[in-house]
Amino acid sequence: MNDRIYGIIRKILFWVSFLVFAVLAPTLVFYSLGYKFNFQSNGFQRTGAISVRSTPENAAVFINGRRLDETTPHIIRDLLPNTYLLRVEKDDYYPYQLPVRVDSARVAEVQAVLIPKIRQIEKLAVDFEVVNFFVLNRLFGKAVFLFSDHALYLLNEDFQQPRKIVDLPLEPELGRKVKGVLEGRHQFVFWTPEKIWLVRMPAFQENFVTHVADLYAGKESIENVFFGLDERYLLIRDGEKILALDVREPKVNFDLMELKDAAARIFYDSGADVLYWQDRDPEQTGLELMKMDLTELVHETSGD
Amino acid sequence: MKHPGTKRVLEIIPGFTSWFVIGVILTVFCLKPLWVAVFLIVYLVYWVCRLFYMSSLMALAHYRVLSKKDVDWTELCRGKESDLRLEDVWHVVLYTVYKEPDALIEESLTALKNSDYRLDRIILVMAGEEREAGAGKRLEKICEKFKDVFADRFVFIHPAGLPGEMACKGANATYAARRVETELKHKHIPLENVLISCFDADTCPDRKYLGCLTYNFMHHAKRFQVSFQPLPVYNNNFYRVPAFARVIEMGSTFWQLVEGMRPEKFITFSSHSMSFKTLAEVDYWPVDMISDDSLIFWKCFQHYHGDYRTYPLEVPVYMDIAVGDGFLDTIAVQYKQKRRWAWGVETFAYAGCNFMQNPKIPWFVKGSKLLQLLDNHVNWATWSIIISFITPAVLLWARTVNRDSLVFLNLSYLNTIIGNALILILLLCAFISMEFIPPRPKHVSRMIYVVLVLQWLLVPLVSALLGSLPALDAQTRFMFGGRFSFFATPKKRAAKSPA
Repeated sequence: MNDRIYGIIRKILFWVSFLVFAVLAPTLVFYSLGYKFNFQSNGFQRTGAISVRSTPENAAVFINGRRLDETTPHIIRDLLPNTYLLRVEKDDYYPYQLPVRVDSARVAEVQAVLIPKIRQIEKLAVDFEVVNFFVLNRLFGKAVFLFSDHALYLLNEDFQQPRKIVDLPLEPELGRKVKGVLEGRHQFVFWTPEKIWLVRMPAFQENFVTHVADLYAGKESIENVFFGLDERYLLIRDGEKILALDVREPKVNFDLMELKDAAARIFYDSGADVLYWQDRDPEQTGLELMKMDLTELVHETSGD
Repeated sequence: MKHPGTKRVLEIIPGFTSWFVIGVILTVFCLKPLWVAVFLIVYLVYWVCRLFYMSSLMALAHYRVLSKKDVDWTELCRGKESDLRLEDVWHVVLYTVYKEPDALIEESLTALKNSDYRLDRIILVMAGEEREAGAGKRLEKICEKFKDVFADRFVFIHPAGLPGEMACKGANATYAARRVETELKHKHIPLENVLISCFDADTCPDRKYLGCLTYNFMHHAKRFQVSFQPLPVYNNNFYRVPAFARVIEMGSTFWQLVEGMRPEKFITFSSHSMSFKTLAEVDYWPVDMISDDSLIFWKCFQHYHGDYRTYPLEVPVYMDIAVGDGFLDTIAVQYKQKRRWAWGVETFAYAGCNFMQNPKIPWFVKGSKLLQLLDNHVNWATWSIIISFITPAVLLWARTVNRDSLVFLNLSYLNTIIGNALILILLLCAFISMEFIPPRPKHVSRMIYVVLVLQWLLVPLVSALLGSLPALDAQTRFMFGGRFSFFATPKKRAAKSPA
């Protein structure tokens, strides 16, 4: 080939590239802005899209009952503004269906988390009748407390081989009545509406001896129990009263405040030692959310 | 220059335009992100089409080089009729030297010695710098090793600090070329019959280079109105440099391949050759500017009132990849070298000023040439910043803040498609680059071939960091009237292969 032929080929390539650009650029801009030519109305219409993802992926997508060829994740384009019924289906999972509103030039996002139909059911290996259980989150992992009618057991993260922690006091159906468990450092408490029990677990002992003792007998009905002030105290809601109980000296307990409404709720942030409660304000008609910083109170008192 | 103000404006235009483009994109993005999304879609499509076009040209140029690989140029010179006889053509091969190691220079001279051409028609000129202590003796000693190989050999030492000059390659080459002219006249060799090749110290001409050059000189219709540009292939130290340096220099080779296919846009770059007569008529290379290689083209273009071309030769010359002491130093050296190349932006003001003083060049030609220069420099400084940094940043923003916008979703989709298209182009680059890779030394593992393919994935990063950034740096300095000292790229060869 001589230079002239190279020149001709080059010109052809240039004009081909130019034409591709001249056609492609406006087409893609219009398309990207959501414009679609409607041959029936002989005009442009603005469309939107649905971006559908699912966990797990590769689920079938149905829009208004019509199955699409593609599976998730998928973007359904060129949809005229309207509400569409979207369904995501995958074998062995429950179908996920919802109406989706599509606006022009917008993308409606759907993230479907599919739940498997057939779940692996595993029976925990325990050789006693579990009458009650509680799952507590720990810094690393979880702990499961199992109550039988006669003893309290602890299951670790692996859910294998429950370890008996303590025999329960001979109270009828105590395990069944337990409302909650609270775990502290080498100790935990559990409570029924009538009573709070403390279990101490000495650290670093192979065959530790645990002690269970009743800490507090409820006057009305024990609703909530929280550790407070570095686990020195228990904050207890008993009926409409909130009281503090010294864990080391259980005889020391005193009322902190009285709630005004039976529907009042409390929460105690043990980390920050802040008590939150929602109660009726005498001057207001509805329930108000309030808080009290116990650490601050203690420090202020010490300073005095 | 009659109107220094005009020159100043021309100096500002390229840098201002580059910053304007980047600034407008970022400003509009803050005010109307949708507009920027639309712009980026058009811009990406434009670059896909442009890269398709350039890749096609590169493949075509590659074919052109391959098709002439086995040509016996000397035989062709004899076989085809011309007003010049082969015996009448003389070659002055001028090496500009500044502190390059002896071994490197000897390697270049050995390559010249191995030319498939009459050595008794080659005059070797070593142009050293007085600034380098003992340069004269050193070059004499090197030349002594090539005694009686060439028709003649000269060593000229360019005095430091001559009035009106700056310390640059052009000043050195000009000083030596002037001295050679005197010698040629002494020898009664007509300048019309002499070709001069101005080479960097590391330039190893292909053994067929001088034959190819001679043939094209003899048979070119306007042999005094053309510069001859060999294909610069940076592979002398190919296996001894980091992958990113290979990629960026191979990119320079590819760029020359592409440019060579666009003769009306092609200008001289680095080592090149031309008629000595023309060179003398235009008073040699500029002595006070950095970009001597491209400025000599514009001097000739001005001299011949726009009727001057650069012709791409099918035969390469082999050069060194710029390398420093270690990885980071190599990045620094590469950055400085590319910034020096980008200082070629000075040609815009130079050409613009000359055009104003030359009424014989048609306005259309003047306008198109200036636009071509502006387009080259502005795109050089902005395109990879826009594609590698701004577009991903906009998409990231859209993904976190504006997830429900269809246009941004489509921009992201388009960007992915373009990314895939770029991989195809990079594969083409990897394929073509194989042609220019020297044989693998025994101490280099076969795994290098995997690296040589994968290294092309560095292109987006490398083109931004060592392509656009140094160009933007140079344009900004130039825009603010900064002066630039010539960065003599260190020519050293690392002992071990870092690949």
